[in-house]
Amino acid sequence: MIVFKRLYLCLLFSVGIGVSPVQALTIEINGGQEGALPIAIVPFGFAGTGPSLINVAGIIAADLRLSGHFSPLPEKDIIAQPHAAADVHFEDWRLLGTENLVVGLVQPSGPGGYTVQFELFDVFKGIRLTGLSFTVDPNKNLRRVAHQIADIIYERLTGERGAFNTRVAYVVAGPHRGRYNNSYVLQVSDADGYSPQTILTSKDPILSPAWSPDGTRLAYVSFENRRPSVYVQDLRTSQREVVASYPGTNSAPAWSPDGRRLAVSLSRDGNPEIYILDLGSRSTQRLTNNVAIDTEPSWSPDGSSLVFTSDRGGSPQIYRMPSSGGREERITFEGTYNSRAQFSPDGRRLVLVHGNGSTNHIAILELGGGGLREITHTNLDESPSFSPNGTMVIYASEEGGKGVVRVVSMDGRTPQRLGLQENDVREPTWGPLNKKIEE
Amino acid sequence: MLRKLLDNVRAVALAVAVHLALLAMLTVNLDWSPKLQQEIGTPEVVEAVIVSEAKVQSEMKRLQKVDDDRAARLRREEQQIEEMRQARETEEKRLEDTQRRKEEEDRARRLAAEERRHAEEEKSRITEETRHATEERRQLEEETRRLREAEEQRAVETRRRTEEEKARLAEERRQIEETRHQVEEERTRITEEKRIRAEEVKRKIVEERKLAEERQKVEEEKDRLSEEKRVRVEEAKRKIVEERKLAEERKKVEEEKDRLTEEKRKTEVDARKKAILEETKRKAVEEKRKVDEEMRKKTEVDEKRKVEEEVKRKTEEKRLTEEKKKTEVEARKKAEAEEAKRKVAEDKRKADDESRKKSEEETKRKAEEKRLAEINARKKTEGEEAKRKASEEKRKASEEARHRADAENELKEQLDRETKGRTDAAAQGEQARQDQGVIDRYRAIIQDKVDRSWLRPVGIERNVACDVYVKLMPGGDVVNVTVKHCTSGDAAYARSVEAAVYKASPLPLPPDPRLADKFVREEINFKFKPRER
Repeated sequence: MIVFKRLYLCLLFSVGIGVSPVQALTIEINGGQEGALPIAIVPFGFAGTGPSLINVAGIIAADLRLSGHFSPLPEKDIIAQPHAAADVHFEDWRLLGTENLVVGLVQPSGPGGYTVQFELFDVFKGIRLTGLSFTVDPNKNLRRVAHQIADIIYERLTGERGAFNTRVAYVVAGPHRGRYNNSYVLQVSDADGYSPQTILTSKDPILSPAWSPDGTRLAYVSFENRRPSVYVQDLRTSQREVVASYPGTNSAPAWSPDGRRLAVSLSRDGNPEIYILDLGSRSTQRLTNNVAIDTEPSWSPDGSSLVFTSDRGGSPQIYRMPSSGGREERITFEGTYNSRAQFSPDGRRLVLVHGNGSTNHIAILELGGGGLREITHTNLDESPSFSPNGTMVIYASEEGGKGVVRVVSMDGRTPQRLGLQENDVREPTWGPLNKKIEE
Repeated sequence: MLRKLLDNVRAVALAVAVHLALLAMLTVNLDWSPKLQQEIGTPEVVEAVIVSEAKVQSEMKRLQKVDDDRAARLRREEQQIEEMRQARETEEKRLEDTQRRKEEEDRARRLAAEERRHAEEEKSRITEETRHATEERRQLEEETRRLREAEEQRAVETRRRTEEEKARLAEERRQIEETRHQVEEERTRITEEKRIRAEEVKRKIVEERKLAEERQKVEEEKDRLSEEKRVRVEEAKRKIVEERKLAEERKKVEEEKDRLTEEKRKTEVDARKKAILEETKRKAVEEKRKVDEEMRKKTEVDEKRKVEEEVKRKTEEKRLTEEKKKTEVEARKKAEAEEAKRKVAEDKRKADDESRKKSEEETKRKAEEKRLAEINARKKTEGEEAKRKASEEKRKASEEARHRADAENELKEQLDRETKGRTDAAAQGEQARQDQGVIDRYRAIIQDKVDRSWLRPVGIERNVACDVYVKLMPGGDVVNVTVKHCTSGDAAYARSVEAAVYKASPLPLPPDPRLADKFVREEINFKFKPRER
């Protein structure tokens, strides 16, 4: 009754006042807080007998955390264990403040095979964003499927492609205490450092592995023939060939974006200069010509220009020139040492080793202006390489006298050590994107 | 094949020898077998003798049946036969002897031949062996020669390799030397560089100091900004308090007015009362005059006393009435004074209550703000656990804020009710002004809530603005969020803006449905734009 009375009163008032001159409701939001997106990844259910083969949810969580964009809820804080949309109570997850939720299930299918399914939800809107089911052959890598799921989640929530289902190449240095016959081992593993495969072992040093743009071949420098020579090896057939073994040094191979040419540093005509080597005709074209050392070339993604390291100005700095030859211009001016530059996949920035006298760190150079920005603060950082989606950087550094490999997000927030089992790892380089799975 | 045979002469020879030996043994075997057959042949001869004996017996039987005479002849003949047999036997014996001798001789001869053959074989074997030995020696020599040659070759190779190695080493040394030279140059360059660098570093230090100062300035600016924000918040608070005070004052003025009216009314009543009293008095005097007149008219002297008495009585009565009236007025006046006093006390109590409530709220809010600030600070420094806790606390805080808002609303509602209930004559402009005040206040509350629930994605350019339209349910629940336009196409950013509004749901609304309706009736337009760093 009181309510009615009040309503009646209100009505009277509204009639009395009419539409009052209240301006349109506009609210400005100027604050907010920058932070990683909270997400809950519930441990996947396993419908088979015995324990689950791998912790799919754990792999997804580790991948997403590695990107620096996500903050997965710790497993101990996960309050419910739904495995499908029907079991999800959004209210529970809203209380925890997680914006997104992932649930999934692993089921045996066929002899030795599996079906892995997952679903991604928007907790506050209370809707399902995406979901997919994978069939995994018995001989296939179940970890790969977890990486693929992480890629899909990453892309759905950030709008950028994920780069978790990719590979990295690196060199392991001995002694190996009987694990390998030779001191130097060239390996390829998943981007998170698991499932390593040996590509080559040698008693002489192996350097500068470089992925072909299609991910089927590796170029590298090996000292096995007394002088450093450039080899190209097919990863599927293990067939390899020497592509540059001129007198002097043959080093720092870099693939052109079309995969048909290599930019290399050769000292056959005196001191190290940048050459372009055509892999089909084996002809070489000299690009630089001066008394200083020119090395470590890298192609812009459109193939139109190259950056390289040169000490012509007294200290190692990065220079840029058209890949067809022409004017060379210096592009780094900060610090006493800048080397090993590599283009980002969008061509807008470079990652490089930056030194300021005492120690070296990894830095990002914005090519459109904006200067140099250090993203690592570990010890003796070197050999940086962009993830193929341009959001992370893999690099080598030193810890306790041993080479370790780390991954850092572009804002330098989450440097994480890669879970490689090997002791002394160097020269990491991130491979290209794999074929995308359509949702 | 042939080469292999040549290489293994010894083995081949041995194989040949074994074969020969086997052949020889076979041959000897073949030689012996006929001899065995000869020995078997002798009993055959004896058998032939037995067969002829049977014939003789059958013949003798037949002869006995025909003629006994012939017995003598036969006996003779028998004798003859016996003799012949003996002679034959002898002969046979002789023959046998001869045969045996001959055989003996034969065997001896054969043995001799065999032996000779053996000897010959032995000889050939020996010859063969000698040949073998020679061959072997030759091979050995060949091998030795070859080995020596190989050795020599190897030595030559090694020497060559050593030389090459030496050359390589020299080359390497040269390269190393070159490298060292380069390094040396590099070092001098580096030294030079270092010197320049040192200066640069000095410069940099100065710059850094400058930068630090700038940073400090920025920090100070930030502090200033936060101070400003605090001041602003304080201001807002103060404004609300002032508003409330104003309303209070307004109320007081109103009350004062009421009081004055009442007083006026009272004064009027008093005046009327006084007038009535005077009228009564006047009437009484008139009556007295009339009575006096009557008395004067009707009675004489004796009556005069009576009249006088009557007058006396009446005067007495009047006095009493007057006295009574006076007492009544006095009592009323006293009561009125008491009422006024009570009213003042009541007002004071109310005011006290008000200020107490206000101060309580103030303290609460201050504590709340302090706690929130602490939470924010802690949130920044602590990890995920803290974040979780913080979000939990945030939730609590927002709930508390809601409670607080509710309490405020109740107060406001009361005020509104009072305003409403007071008089219809209240100015419409005044009402609109108050409405706007409430709406502004709730706008600030909503802004604060959405602001706190907005989590911007990391590593994204800050100067992105988004225009968002939000539809609410009557209770303040967010039912639809439309991100109309963002200045950058970043999906994560758009998502964060959308999520911020959903996370803030339900949005706090004024308790007055009339005012809440203004938030529900139309879409609310949120303009997201982070402040520049």
